[in-house]
Amino acid sequence: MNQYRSIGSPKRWHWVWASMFLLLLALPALAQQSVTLPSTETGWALDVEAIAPRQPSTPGTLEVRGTGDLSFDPAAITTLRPDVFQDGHFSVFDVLVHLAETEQIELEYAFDESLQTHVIQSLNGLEGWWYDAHYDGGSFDKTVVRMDCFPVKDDMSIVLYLEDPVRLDAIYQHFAVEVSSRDPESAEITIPSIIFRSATQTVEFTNVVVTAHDARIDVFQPGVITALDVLLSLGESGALDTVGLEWRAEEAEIPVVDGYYVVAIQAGEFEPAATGSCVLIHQVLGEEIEDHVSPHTHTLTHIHLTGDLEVLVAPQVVEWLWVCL
Amino acid sequence: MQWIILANAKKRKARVVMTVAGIAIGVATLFALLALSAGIEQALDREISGMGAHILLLPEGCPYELTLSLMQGSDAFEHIPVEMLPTIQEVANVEVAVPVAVGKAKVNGQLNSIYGTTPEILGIRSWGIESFEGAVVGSDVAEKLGLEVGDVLNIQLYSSVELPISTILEPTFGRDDTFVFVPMELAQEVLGLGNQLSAVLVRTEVVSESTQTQYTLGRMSDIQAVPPSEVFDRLIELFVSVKQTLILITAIAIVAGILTTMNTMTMAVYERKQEIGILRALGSTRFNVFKLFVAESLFLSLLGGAVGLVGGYVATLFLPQNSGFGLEATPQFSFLYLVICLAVAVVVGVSSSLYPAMAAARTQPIKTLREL
Repeated sequence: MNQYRSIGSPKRWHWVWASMFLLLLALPALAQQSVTLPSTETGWALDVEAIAPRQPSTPGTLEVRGTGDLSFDPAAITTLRPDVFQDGHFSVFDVLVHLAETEQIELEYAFDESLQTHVIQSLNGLEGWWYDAHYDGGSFDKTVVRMDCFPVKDDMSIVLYLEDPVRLDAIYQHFAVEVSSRDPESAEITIPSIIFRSATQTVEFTNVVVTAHDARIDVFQPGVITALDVLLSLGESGALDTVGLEWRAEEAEIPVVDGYYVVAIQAGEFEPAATGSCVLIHQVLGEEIEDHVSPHTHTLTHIHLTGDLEVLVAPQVVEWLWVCL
Repeated sequence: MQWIILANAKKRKARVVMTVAGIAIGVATLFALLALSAGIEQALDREISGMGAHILLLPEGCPYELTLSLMQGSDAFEHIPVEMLPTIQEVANVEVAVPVAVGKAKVNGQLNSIYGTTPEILGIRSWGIESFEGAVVGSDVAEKLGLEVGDVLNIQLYSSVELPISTILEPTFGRDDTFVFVPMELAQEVLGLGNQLSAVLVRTEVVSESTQTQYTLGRMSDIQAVPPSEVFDRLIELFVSVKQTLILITAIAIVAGILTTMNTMTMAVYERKQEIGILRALGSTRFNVFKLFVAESLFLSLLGGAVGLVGGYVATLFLPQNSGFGLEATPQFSFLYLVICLAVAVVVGVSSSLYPAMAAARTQPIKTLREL
């Protein structure tokens, strides 16, 4: 007993344990950084130096329905869309092409100018493929994001499957409408309707001009417009008073999040602010796909494709919904 | 009294039509709401209890979306490894664990839900058949594709198989009517699922101990154990929030009906002061006059109620016949709804006539006769 006392009194150990406990509590906070825009230094731009995002580095798998789980090594993948992605980053479609290059699947594909995306012409001899994907901790979400624009992160789930021809046709029509309503020479897009929904209020902004703010210059090339740019552009135009963002590097048991969560916005009297674990999640909509997207009515997950990672072409509607865990 | 009411109705046709229409809209909305709500609740109950399971074992993910996918026969992309099945079957109180693999495939060239399972399904479904061999086809899909027992089905998605039809089910009036039930391995092959399952339907030996069994099953990794009643309650909760909004709209329509009738009756009292004066001078008591106006209002309200019931019935024929969860839900009509709607019409009639009837009853006969 006396020997133990010589190392340090029990009271001193309490302080050590307490310090370690506080450090453990502080670790998640270190992985989160809150930003309220506009900031005095950068206005409605985000300080890209303030975050430490990661590139995909861990070998992953992609499930091709009917074939099984196929492995890929991120280090061996280069992107087909260098106009969209920075070096080291790539899309779901790039993984697929890599699997074809490594002869794990047979793939015929082409870039469709009218849709501004790569499309699968045939995979293992079958036509009519689409995909769904989610990041670690999330769930499949009936995605309607261009396959060559969906950024890959470590530990994500991807499934390629034969889609109902009606839904696939609706998705391609949605892309075609987007492309036809965008001026390819212009660095900005005009979104006819942007809707914010809180539990009690709905606010709509119409014909909003959106420009790139390069908030995720680590992932995307300069000039690529994302859903987060919708908020930043609304802020610049004076439509939004403030936007609260939180950079989350990780969540409990989810090692890689690396995305901005929208935790508060203020537009006059419309002011949904974070309470508990509520965030604003976005949904890109259009007339053609309104029956073919996830309704986001469930409240079990908000690990999704965050606004800073969803590339926009020229959607008809972007909706922001308040979701609580 | 009837003669006076009818004579006044004939004299002021336009006003009567508008008053009746005002009440009819409220009653029609209420009737349609009651019939559709009952239809949705019945459809959900039928689908969930029709599964025949005491516990649903689902992969990880949103249990409500996964259950809906299961009921709709579409692949939710989250799965349970088939290797877990023996472990599940060994859990105490599990009477039968039925593996299920669902998804959409081309059946004779047309996209249709296929439902892969094992003969144990016969223990939890009330189909009235004794063997599960080949393809067991739901009545709706058999009618849609013109199928008969003995026909050979071509089922195709990631691979193509041919399978003879052993049974065409009698109508269940649920989703089973729209499925093609096939052996599990065949469904897994066609749907490209490998050794994976969409869900496992568990029936317990002692139902009162299902909670403990659910707890034990829920502790297994990569699966969640959900009682169907919980899913039903949750889906009903989602529906109730919509229903509350509809009830509010209906209440507004009914209040508008009350105000319209009240306005009509007040105007009638004002216009018919002399008529009331003569009635009073001829010996009608205040109560007689009061009764006359209440009866007139009741007549208009009941007429509006009757028109509203017809209108509500017709409206339900044109409204979407689904539950909003991708499940068919035909409106359910009941004598009780008819009584409720007519009772509401009576309440509208009585409440809207009280003030004008009292005003009419207070009319001084001498004063009004002097004004003649």
